[in-house]
Amino acid sequence: MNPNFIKLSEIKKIYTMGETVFSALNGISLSIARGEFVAIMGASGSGKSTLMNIIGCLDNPTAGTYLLDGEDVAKNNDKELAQIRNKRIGFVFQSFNLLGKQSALDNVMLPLLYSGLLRKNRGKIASEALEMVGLSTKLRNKPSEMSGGERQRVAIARALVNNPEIICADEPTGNLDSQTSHEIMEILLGLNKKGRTIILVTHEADIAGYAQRIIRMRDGGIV
Amino acid sequence: MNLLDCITSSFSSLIQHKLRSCLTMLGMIIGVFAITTVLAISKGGKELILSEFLTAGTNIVMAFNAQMETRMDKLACLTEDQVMAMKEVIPQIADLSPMHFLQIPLKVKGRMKQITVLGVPENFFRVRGIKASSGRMFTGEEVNRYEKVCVVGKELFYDLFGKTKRLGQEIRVEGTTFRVIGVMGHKLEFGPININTAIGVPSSCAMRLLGTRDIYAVQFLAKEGVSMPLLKKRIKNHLRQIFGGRDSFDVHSVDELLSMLNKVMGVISIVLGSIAGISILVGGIGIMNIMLVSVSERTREIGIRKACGATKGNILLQFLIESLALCSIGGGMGILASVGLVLIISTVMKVAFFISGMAIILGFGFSFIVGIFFGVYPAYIAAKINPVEAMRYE
Repeated sequence: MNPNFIKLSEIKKIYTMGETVFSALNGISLSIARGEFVAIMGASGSGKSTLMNIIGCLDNPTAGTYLLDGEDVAKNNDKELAQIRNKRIGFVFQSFNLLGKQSALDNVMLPLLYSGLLRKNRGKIASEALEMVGLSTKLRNKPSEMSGGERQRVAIARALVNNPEIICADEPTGNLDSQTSHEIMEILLGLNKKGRTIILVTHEADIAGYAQRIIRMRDGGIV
Repeated sequence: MNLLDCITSSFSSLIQHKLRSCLTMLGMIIGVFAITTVLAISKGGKELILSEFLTAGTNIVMAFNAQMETRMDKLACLTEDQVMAMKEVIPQIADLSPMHFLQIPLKVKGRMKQITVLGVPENFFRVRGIKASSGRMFTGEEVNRYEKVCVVGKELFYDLFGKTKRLGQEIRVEGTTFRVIGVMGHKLEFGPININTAIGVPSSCAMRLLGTRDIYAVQFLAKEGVSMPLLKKRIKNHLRQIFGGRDSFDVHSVDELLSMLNKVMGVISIVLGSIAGISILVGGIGIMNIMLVSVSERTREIGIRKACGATKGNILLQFLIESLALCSIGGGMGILASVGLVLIISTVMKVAFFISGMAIILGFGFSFIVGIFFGVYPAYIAAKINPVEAMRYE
């Protein structure tokens, strides 16, 4: 197991809005091992989502180094970063972030569309992913025809359809009731047991309890 | 993501917003419809007029006294010998026909009108490509025998006798009765006479009626391959010599009218085409406007796509294809509507208007270019959206 699968050194993120300068991350250094289940906890505005976006290659740090599996992420161009997001990282968001006018199957096929996979294989792989999260009967349903828990399962199926090494989950249970939250967490736990690195952002202690390690944040730093 | 996936994705997005897509396309449909129809009608009209000229022959020169209509008595005129000698002097002339004119009062539709009677030899009609739409034209023998026969211009014939097309009616000219043996088919005119409202009689009879053999107008047919400006110049110089250095006769050819017609039609086409072009431009701006609205509306979708692995190029291409699809489909529909209208006009007016391949290519090409031009900016805006901010967008 590579203990420095994800290695952040002195990561800073500064937002400038007009004359206002806001530092979201103040030089964070952190290592996450391959296959680890890490929960990032903190109050609203502590910088946990910003950190997850940087780890997920959705955002660039203002300063510092981010090594993913030994490779400096900053050296990648837009196309290479897109490829990392497509092949190596899967995202699960609090508000599901599904395409509302498309079916569950189409939503799960979205990462496959950008992965260069042949058209004919996409449906099969996406169906299997939906089956894995227990939604084999709802392939043609649109998000509006599903419950919150089902929508989050679709989002998880979409996150794992390209078989990524990392799953970044930003408050995945934030919009769900307690029972559904635990069902979703069980799915994530199962994925971790299969070897995937899970980075979970949450402010709920019981949800963070599923993780092997909890990183607590306050005011853009790790405490 | 390959091109086919991009196209599928773009079309599926357009289908999801059917009403908006249709309304956006409307601008392009109207623009391309206008440009193709204008081109078809102006081209068809031009060709129709040209075909009339070509039937009449473009190798004709007319020489006539410039003041013929106002001061007939004191006019400079030619003798028969002078006219016939021109054929020898100017080798470019293939044939010629002297013309004689009379003005007679005739009751047309209950009102007295001055009608032109044209005294010509039988070759005049052949040279001008004037054919009988019913009956026949008079022959050389009838000219030599002073036969009192006449052919009447189509318009005048209908005004005089209605659309009965019955020949054999009689017309009195200066106390002499002429029998109508034919109707002169409709032709576009140039020179001093409108054939459609004239009466044609044998030149021999006209000279007898006029009591003179003076010639005030001559029609020349150029030999094959002869330069018309050169022939015109030679005729003009020869006539100037006859009249002691004065330009008593005007000399005109069909080709100069053709070039004038070409210029006029060209200007009309440019003016109408510009108006149609403006409507395409307005349609294009409408498309850009809607695409910008679409980008703003779908900011979250763009963020999701980027999180799933879409590159800037993928997003740019998707929005560009959407804009191109709107313009191209709109353009295609505009062309179809134009083809339909032109077919209806052709059938109703019995005129062969048609949409040329060039008009279709131009209409479609325009819509395609407009699609790219007005689609690039919204697509660029979409492509550079930050995924994190996009997914926060409400």
